[in-house]
Amino acid sequence: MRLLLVLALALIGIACQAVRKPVGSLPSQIAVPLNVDPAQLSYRPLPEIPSPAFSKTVLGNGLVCYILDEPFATVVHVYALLKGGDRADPEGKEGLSRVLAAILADSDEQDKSGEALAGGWDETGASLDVASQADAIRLEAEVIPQDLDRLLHVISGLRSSEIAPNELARALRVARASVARRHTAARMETLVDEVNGILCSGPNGCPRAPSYESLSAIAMPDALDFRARAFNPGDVILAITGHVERPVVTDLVLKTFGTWTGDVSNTRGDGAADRWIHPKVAGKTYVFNWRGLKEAYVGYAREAIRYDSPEYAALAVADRILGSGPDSRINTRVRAQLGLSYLAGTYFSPAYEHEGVLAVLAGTSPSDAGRTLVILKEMMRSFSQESISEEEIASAKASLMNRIPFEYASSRKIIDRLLLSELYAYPTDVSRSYEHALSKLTADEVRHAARNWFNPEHFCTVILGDADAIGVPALGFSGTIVQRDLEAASPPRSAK
Amino acid sequence: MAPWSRISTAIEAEAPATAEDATEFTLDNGMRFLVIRRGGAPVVSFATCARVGYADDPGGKSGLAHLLEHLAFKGTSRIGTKDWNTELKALDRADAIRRQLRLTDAPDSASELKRELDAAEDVAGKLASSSDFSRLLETAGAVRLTARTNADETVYSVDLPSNRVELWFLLESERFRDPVFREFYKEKNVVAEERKMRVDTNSRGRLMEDLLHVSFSTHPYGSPGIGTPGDLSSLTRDDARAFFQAYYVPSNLTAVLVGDADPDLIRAFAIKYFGRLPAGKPPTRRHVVEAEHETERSVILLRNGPCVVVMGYHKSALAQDQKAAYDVLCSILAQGRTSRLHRKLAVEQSLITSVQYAGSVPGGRDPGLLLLTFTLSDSAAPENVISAVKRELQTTAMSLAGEAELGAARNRARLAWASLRGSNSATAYAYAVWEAQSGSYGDLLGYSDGLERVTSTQVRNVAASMFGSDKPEIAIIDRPTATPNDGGKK
Repeated sequence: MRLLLVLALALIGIACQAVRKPVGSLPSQIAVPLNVDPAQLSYRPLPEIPSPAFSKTVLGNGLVCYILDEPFATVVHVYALLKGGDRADPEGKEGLSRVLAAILADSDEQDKSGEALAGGWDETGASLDVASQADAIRLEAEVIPQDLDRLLHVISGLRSSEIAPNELARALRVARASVARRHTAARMETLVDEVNGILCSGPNGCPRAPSYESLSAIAMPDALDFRARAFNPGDVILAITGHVERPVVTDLVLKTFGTWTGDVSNTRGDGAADRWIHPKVAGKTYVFNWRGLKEAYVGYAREAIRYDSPEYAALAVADRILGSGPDSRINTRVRAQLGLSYLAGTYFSPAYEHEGVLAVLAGTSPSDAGRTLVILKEMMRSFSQESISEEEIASAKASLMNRIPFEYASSRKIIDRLLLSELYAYPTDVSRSYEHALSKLTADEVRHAARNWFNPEHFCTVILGDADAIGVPALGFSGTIVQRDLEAASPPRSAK
Repeated sequence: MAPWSRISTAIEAEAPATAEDATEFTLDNGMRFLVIRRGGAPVVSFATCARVGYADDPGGKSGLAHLLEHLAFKGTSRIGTKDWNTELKALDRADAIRRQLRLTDAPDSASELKRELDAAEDVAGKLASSSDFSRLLETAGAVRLTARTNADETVYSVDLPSNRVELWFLLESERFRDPVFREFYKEKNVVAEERKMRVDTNSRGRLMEDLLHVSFSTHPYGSPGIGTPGDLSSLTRDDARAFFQAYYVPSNLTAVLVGDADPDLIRAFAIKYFGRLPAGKPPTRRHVVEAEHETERSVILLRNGPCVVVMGYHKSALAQDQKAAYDVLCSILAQGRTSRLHRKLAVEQSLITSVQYAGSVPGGRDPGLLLLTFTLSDSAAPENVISAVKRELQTTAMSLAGEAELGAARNRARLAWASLRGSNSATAYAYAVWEAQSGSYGDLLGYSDGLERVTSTQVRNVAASMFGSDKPEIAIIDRPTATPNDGGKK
C-alpha cells in the first residue's frame, strides 16, 4: 500500500521537470553471439569516491551540527538525535520516550499554542517523523530549501512549546496501539525482537518494552521532564543535508539554536552502570508460544560483535557466505533446493555500544520446524568446522567490496553514520576503515571467523510458533528450556 | 509576519538542477527504455517492468504471475546449470511423468511413476546451480536485488555499481530470452510458505485478500495475487512456459535506468543485448467492467491487537484532468496530520490513532479502490468510526476546499515528488510502473500543470462522484471479546 502511495505521489508534478530527448532512430536487430560468458566481461575501474564534504560546528552551548552539501538534492533534510531514548525510560514508566516522540511528531497540529509552531507549517507541506530509539529520539524532517528557516524554528519550538493535555492523551493512545499491534501478527521480526531481548537482558541491556500498565503510569510532569533532558543542548546532535550554502545555514543554526541554555544534563555517566550485559545463553532453548500460528520461525542466536571489532570485516564475509543474500549457502539449500522456507538466512546485526546479535533463522511450516532446525545446525557445524573454498571467499569479499559505492549513494546513509559516530564517539571514517579492512582480508581470517563465530554449540535455540503444532517436546532439547506465551489479550475497550 | 517567514532563498547554493536528464528510446522489437542520468555516486538503479500482473492470471491459475517472477531468478540454459543437456532431459522426463500421473488412477502405476519422478527430479536437482544468476549480480556488488508482482505489472529491480551496466544487460536479456523454470515444484513450496507469512498469519494481509475478493466479483482485481493453495498446487511448468510466452514479449517490457548512466552507452548495450529478442505478439488484457454493487459489503476478522477499519470506494475511470483533482482530494482527506479525516477523527473525536490512504488499489490500469485505513483508539467502536467517516466524506462531497487547503495539498504533493527523486531506486520503480500503467513517460508532461490548475469545484465534483452513493466496501479487524469467537471470521 505504501508503494502505491509513493507511486501516486511520484506521478504528481513529474512532468514539469522532465526534459525529453528525441526518440532515436535505431538499427534493426543485430545478431549477437549467445555464448557471451558473464565471467569474460571486463569492467572499467570506478572513479575514486571522494569523502563527502561536510562541516561540523559545535555551538557554545554544546549543540553539535553537521552540514552536508548535496549538489543534486531538491529538498533539504534535517535530522536530529536527542540523547536519551528508550533506555532512559524510568522504571515503571516504560514507553515514556516513545510517548514524547509521538507528542513531538504531532507538532504540526494547529492547536499547538507555542508561538514558534503557530501557523504556516502546513503550507510548506513539510514532513516530520520522530521515533524513539534505544539511546536517542531521532527526528527527521524534509522541506524545500526556501522553508528551511521555518522548519528550524519549528524544531526549536518543540523544546519549549506547551504540551496540551489532549496531546499527551493522543500520544498515549498511539503508544497503546503500538503495544496492541505486537499481538496482531507474528513474523520474523517478532522473533528478532525477542532474540534481542534475550541477548541484551539485564538492568542495563535492551530497553524494556512498554506495557499497558507502564503507559498508564505516565503523566504530564514525566513528559515535560523527559523533554527537558532530551533537549539539553549538549545532548542534541543536528544534521542538515541539501543543496545549501553552508555558511548561510551555519548562521541560521546559530541564530535559531545558539540561545538555548542547558541546565539539565542528560549525558549518561560511564563505567559499569552503562555497560550492556549479555547473559550466557549457549545451549538454552527459548520457546515463544503463539497458539494457532500457521508458520513457525526457528533458529539459533548468540551475541555478535561491535562495529569497531577487528574481526568485523572477516565476520561480515563469513556471514555473507553462510546466510546473507540469495546465493548464500542457507538460502540455496533451505529455500531453493528443499523448498522449506521463504525466509531463511543469517541475521548479523553488530552494534556500536554493545555486541549486537548474530542469528541463523528460517520461517517454515510447523511440521517442518524440527527438520529445519536440524538442517540449519548441520550447516553451521560444517561451515565452522570444514573448509570454505577460496572461490566462495573471493566471491563474498568481492560482493562486499563492490557495494562500497552505495555507502556514498545517499545522504541519509552518510548522515546516519555521522550521527551515530557522534552519539557513540566513533571515528567519522568508519566506512573507510571497513573498506580498508576488507581489502586486506585474507581467506584464513575468514575461515577463522567462521570457526570462531558459527560453532552451533555457542548458540541458543529460538522458536516462535504454536508449540503444540511444532511438537516442541518431541524435538528433544537438552539444557534449560524457557517457554513464554507471546500472544496476549488486547486491552478492554474501556481502557484509557 | 512570523519571524521565520522566508528570509531569503540564499540558503540554496544555486538553483538546483530540477530538470531530469531523460532519454527515451524504443527498440525495433518494441522494448522501451528510459534513462535518467544523475550525478553523485557511481551507481545505477535498474527496473524492468513487464506489463503483466496477477490480474492477468488465467482462471483457476491464481498465483501464476507471481510464481513466474520467482522463477525468473532461477537462471537459463547457460546460467545456473552444470550440464544443460542432461538437466533438460531430466526436466522434460519429470514433466512427462507428471502428465502421466494426472491421468493415472491405478495405485501401483502411480507408485511406480512417483519413483521415476523422484529419480528424474533428483538428476535435475543435482545438475542445477540455480543461485548462479543471483551470485553473478551479488558478486558484482548488487543491492536490492528483488522483484515485485503487482496487479497490473511485475517489476524486477537491482542496483549496481555503474561499471557493471553491461553485466546487467547480459543477465537481464538472458533472463527474458531463455528462462528454463528449473526447480519449479520446489518453488511452489516456497510460495506456499510465503502465503502463510503474508496472508495466513497476517491479519492485514488476510483482510486485504478478503476485501478485494468481495469488492471485485467479476474483475480479476479480486483474484488473490499470491494464489490460493488449491490453484498453486495445480500449476505446472507448462503453465509457466505458456504464460511467459504470452506476456514476456519485448513490446510488453520497459527498462528504466537511473543514476550514473551514459545514455549513448545504454543505447548501444540495449541494441546489443535486448535487440536480439524476437518481437512477438503484443498481449491484450480482457476488458472487464466491474458491475456496480447495489449494497454495502463488509468483511470482519476477529483478532487480537488494535481494531482496524478499512473502507474502500470504487473509482470510476478518470480523465487526465480529473486525475490531478483526485490526487488533491486524497491529500486533503487523508495525507498527514492536518488532513480532514485525521483532524476530525483523531484530534476532535479521539476515535482513531492514524489514517492512511492508497489512491488506487490493487492497480491503476483499470478502476480500482480508494482505500482508507483507520487504526482505532482502544476505546472506539468500528461502527462509530464508519459513521464518522461517512459523515466527513459527505461533507467533502458537498463543500468546497479553501485556497489554503488546496495550496497545502499541492505543496505536499510537490515535496513528495521531490523527495522521491532523492533515491535512484525509488525513481526507477515509480517511472517503470507509470510506464506500465499509462503507456508513456511522455503522458506525464502536463500533469504538474494540471495539478496547479485544480480548482475546489473539480475536487468537490470528484468527491461527489466517489462518495455520493455512500456504498463503500468495508473490512474490519475487531477483537474477539466484542463478539463470540466463531472461528475468527464471519
